Amino acid sequence: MTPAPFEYIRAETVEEALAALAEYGDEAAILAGGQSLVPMLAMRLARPAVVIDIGSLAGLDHVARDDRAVSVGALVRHRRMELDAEIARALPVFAEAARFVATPAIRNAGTVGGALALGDPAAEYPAVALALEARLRLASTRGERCVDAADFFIGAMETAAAPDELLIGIEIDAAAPGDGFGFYEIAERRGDYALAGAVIVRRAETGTAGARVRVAIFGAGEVACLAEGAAAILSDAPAPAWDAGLLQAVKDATRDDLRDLALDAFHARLAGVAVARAARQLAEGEPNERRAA
Amino acid sequence: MKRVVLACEVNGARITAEVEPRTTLADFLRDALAFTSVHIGCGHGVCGACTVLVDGRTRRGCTTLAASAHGRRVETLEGLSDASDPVIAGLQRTFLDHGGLQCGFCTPGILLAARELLARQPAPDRAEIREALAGNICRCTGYGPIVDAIAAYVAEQAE
Repeated sequence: MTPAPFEYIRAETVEEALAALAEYGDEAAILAGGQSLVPMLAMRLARPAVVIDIGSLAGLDHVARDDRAVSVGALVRHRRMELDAEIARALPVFAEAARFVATPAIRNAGTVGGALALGDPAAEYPAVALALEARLRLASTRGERCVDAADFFIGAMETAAAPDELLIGIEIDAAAPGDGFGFYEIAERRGDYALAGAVIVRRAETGTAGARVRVAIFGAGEVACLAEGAAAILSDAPAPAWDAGLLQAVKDATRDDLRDLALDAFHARLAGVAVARAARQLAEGEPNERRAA
Repeated sequence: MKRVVLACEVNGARITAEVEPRTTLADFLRDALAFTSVHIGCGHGVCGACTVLVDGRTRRGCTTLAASAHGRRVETLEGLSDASDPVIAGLQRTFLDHGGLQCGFCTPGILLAARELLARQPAPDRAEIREALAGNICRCTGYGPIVDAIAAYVAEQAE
């Protein structure tokens, strides 16, 4: 399979990439790890006039931590999210989700920024970003802005980024004592697209015994989304009370949350199952099946 | 279309070439350099037969543009064969002993995936071996003999 012809620009700095985006906008595609774009080019689902390759530019592959937040550059590869010690401490749910992104050689190439900027509804990271309330940093020759994940994912392969904007990184509040997460993905085979998946993040509320729970769904709908009804049930009851009856209520609430967004009743039902299993994992601190690849 | 300059290292040799931007790394390695261990199965990143190493890490040759390999170190199975890499040499032997290949189309990719696993986890169990091979499709063996071959290599190393 051979892509249709295109012009190729190898950007060596962020500024060069932004200048090229400002010039070509809609006609350009950004190439980072290439694990989605190159297959789309090969199948001619994408036919950009210009490909701007940012895969080798310096300065966007950092994982940095301050008192409160973790900053991850757009060019950090999935493999590093999976294995990096700082990510494991500060954003353990991200490390867990990274293990479910495709297969090892693809995780060596694909990037955090690419997986978020594509806005694929079946991908793990948009839901992780929603559950963690990530802030996405967008840059253009016009300047920089920060967009909350909740405002970024608009539809299937559709985000709030303008045609001249480049996602340069994300910022996420680091996990604190008492926080927890659950992650569960249902796919037909390992590494394949999710039929449905759930990401649950519990943030302890400082000074109280309470916690705020966010539930995000991927795979089941047109776009990654929050399941607010399910989250409300899980926020109101402390984790030890998450018995079978409560988890059934969570499943029902998830299906209700997805009423207008799910692809069909089957996917809505699977999403409910994924949320219930992720909740059980959060309650029991039980890891997903170990993977070492 | 304007061609682009590609300067990189392939199996230890410095290469400079001009390529069409749309040329994939897999096509470039096969067609321009005749490294035919890079098998093109699906052509869109699913089957793993075109696996190569870029800067020491496994990579799909078909979902990497040749132009993106500029400045990088690329290795194919040829660069690690003929006993130049002890892990590959050992795996090739146990693959033969245990029927780890039939037609052999998937084998170069599987050897590179197994080598990457063993570099990180020298004593994987069978589940870990299967997980490491999740991105490599074999249509002949049913995978059992491939897992046997890698497990046998691991057992030899533990002796």
